[in-house]
Amino acid sequence: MTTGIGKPTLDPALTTLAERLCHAAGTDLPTALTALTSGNPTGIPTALAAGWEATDVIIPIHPTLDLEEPGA
Amino acid sequence: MTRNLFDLGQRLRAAHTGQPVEIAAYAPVLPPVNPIACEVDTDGEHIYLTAASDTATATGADRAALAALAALGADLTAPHRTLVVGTAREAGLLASLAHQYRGDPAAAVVGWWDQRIDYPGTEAVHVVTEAARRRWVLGVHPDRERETATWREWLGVTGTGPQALLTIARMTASGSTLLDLLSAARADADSWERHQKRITAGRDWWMPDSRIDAAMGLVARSHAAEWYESLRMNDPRVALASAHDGSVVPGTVVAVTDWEAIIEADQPLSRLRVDSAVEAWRGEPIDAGGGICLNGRVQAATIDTNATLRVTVGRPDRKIKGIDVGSRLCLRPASVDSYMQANGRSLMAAKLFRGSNWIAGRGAPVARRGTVPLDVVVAAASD
Repeated sequence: MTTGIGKPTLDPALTTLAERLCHAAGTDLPTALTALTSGNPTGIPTALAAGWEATDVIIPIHPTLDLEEPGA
Repeated sequence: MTRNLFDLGQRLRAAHTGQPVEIAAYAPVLPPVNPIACEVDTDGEHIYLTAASDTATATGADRAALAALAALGADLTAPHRTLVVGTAREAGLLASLAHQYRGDPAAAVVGWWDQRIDYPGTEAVHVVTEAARRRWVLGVHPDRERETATWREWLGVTGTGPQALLTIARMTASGSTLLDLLSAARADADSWERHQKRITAGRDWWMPDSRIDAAMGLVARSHAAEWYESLRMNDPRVALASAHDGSVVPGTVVAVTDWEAIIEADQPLSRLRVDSAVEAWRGEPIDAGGGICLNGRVQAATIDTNATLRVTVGRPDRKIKGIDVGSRLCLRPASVDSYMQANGRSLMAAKLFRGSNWIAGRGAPVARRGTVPLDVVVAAASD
């Protein structure tokens, strides 16, 4: 993958969006990224940190349906 | 604002790792049924199609495009199939082609797909970019997620053309499906059968709806959207995000009687209006989809000087049991029951066919004043 904040080729549009949102939330993107990537997301908006960490949350899957395509 | 920041956090994480971040624990769409995938484009004068099923490919422009669809099995006399397209714009192009050559046998099938695309959760049409956005977030600006090429790149799909669309559609629909989503398939099957019968009976598929049909269609589409949104909130990851826009309100019970419970919200953030029907599950947002431990209506929502939000839920169906002071729970809007919706539509249809209903062309509408919530006014203004 070649895109990504902090990677050699950035997505400029995402960077602009992120800067705008961080500024509105009273922080700035470099500070937020440093906090997020350090594993100690203090001093930044809790919602931003929660979004960053959401993928790590273990989800209890309830009994459900595993569907297959007809004929599969 | 907090939801925007939550979404940004997920997006930055995806950018940092170079991997899509899952935003749904369950597949948000049904697996495609014997799909026909289409790439559709136009130069303003002609419409070009490249299509594929699992076993064949076909191409064509204008009328030949419809012939290509027919060659792949878009047939009114056969069981319905899923149309897979990259964007809704491409489905729109296909629909305009069908209207242009409306006597073509495949046009009637395209006409049906064009109807069903308005029903969220449908298995009749799978719009790859829209469905994938309900499952993952990518480390790019949201606008780039509206392009099929972005999804190909991030999901590691090496092929191109309609075969790549099929691959992405199957990835999006893989794994456990949201419980109850299957009722969308039943609605599709019923709709296909009605469509077949109408055309067999000699009715042209392109004929505009009668006023009553249009009114009922509008309600049915609205119901489908409400039902799908409600269903999605049973997905723990969706609930987790919804806690940041006030659609889900996690909190702690601070007072409870047989008929009323007061919940102190974790954040002063709630979209649950007074008198709206609500329900709650025990635990945290990630416990969504389990049993409901409380239902009723919001009796009051107050914020004190410490910005603490308390929501009072009363008028439950039955005495409140099993909830104590200190219990953790999450409030959400009451689940939408598709059977109740269907009953409501039946009642509405009966009203439309009798009396002096102005929608049915009898009498004139009567002006009536009523209270409209601010968010409805804002949504109408932005439309």
